[in-house]
Amino acid sequence: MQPLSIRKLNVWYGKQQALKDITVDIPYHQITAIIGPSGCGKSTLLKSFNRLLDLNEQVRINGQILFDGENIYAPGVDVTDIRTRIGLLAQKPFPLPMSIYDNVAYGPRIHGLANGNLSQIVTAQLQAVGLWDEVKERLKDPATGLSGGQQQRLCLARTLAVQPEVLLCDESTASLDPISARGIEELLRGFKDKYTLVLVTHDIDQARRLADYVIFMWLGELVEHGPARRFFEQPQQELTQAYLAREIG
Amino acid sequence: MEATPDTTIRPLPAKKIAASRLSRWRWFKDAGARTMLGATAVIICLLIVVITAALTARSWPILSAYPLAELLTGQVWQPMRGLFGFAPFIAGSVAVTLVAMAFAVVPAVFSGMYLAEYTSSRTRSALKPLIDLLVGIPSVVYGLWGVLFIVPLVRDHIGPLSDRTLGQFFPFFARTNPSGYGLLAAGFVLAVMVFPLIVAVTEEVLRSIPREMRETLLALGATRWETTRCIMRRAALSGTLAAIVLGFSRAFGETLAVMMLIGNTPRIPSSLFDAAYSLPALIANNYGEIMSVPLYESALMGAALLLLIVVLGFNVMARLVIMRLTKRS
Repeated sequence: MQPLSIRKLNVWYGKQQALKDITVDIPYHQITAIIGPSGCGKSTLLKSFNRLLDLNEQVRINGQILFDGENIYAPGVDVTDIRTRIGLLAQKPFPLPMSIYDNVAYGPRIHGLANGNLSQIVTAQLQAVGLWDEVKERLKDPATGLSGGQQQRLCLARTLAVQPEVLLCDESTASLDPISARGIEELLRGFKDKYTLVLVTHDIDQARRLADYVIFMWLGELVEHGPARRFFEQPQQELTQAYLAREIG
Repeated sequence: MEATPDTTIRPLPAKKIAASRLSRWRWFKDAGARTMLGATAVIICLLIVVITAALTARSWPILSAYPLAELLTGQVWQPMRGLFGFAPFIAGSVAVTLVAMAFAVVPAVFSGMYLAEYTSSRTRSALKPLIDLLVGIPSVVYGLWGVLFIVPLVRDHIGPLSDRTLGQFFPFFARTNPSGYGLLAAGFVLAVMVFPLIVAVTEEVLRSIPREMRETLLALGATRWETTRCIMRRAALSGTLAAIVLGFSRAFGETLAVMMLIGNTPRIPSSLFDAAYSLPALIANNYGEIMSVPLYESALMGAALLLLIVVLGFNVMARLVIMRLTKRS
């Protein structure tokens, strides 16, 4: 079962083509890492999955992304529904300017998921990201008072509270200190049985540590993709070999 | 760093290091520029002090001749008889400004929200110059438009209609004045004048909110409206209040258009259709005439001082609100 199938996806920023003819399947309930040097289109690919790319007016997209067999770029598709089912953890933690509690509660509130047990949902999600013990005494405090690592875990809890099926992570540990970054990595690893995870990273070692499946991008093109073990141990393409050997990038 | 002969003009060691690398002429130009730019900024700040001081000095005679409470609450304005009651003018200014705000605030804030959150950059770049254009139209043109279109409309249609319906129950809507000149006409035109200002500031405030907030909300599956509402409530509220207060100050101080439409009758208004008189109009209509009347000039200066204090007061109030709100978030 492939929750996300990308078919001949082309993306242009104005006249510049950012993604060229991408066709790949994202495996179900595994961690897929999209790797490649900066500017190779990996974030663009990730943001095309939840149609956040649409916010940029310069962007032109053709091709298909099938989510549960349905093309999310078909006319008449409910974008908010797509974004509800495909959550995103951004590169830099961005707590909403409200309390810790409200940050997590916001999604369930707008989607009507609470059914009167909102605080249970909030508690559960904060526990799931290991933040509960650190914040339970100050749920009403502004979320901006947390440290960077705590903020990113809060953002993760906020995304999960919407009950997505897929979780996209856009270099979500890049702005954190090594210990916090490891903390997030551990969490993501543990989420595999509940979510399909796709993460963008420029950190080959992180991909090695986490990924079950790897997609390697170069200048907007998909160079190679496959199960992580094969990808790292027997890369097929010269470009991949050179990149993994850190000769290019 | 070794000492150079002209250390006397560079008292701090940090400056000495920096200056020693520059030629004296470049150093001189840099210091000159700093002094000149600084002086300009200081002079601009001083202007407000100078104006306030001058107004206070010139209005001192009236302020010392009558108790302040009597001036502010006095209802009769008859300079010939030595009666200087500001109350009708204060009430007129407040009333016409409130009417204007009642018309302008909601549509202006909504327009700002629409411009910032809903339009494409192409639509925005077409609409924004139009709004800026509205700000640039001279008040006298707005005033004329009011005289030619709004006053007849109020006189022939809105007045009679309001009198027949709401006016039967609420005296505030009773048609007390058949001319059409009064609070409603002046307030409406004033609303049109401050509308673009509030739109522009609201839009700017919303667009200054980090892009990440919008993306975060949309990525959580929030609709456009939910996103806009959350941004408005959580991040842009203080700025929007500032926009409204700016509009208020602007309306409160507007002279010409109000003068042309409000009816210039020094009486505390009790109905939307009453003619009234505003503080700026009082000064503009009377300054330079019959100055032989004792204390007359001083009284007008007092009115100007009052105007200045109110407008400054609103601005300070807005800043305090903003400070409180931004501290919370």
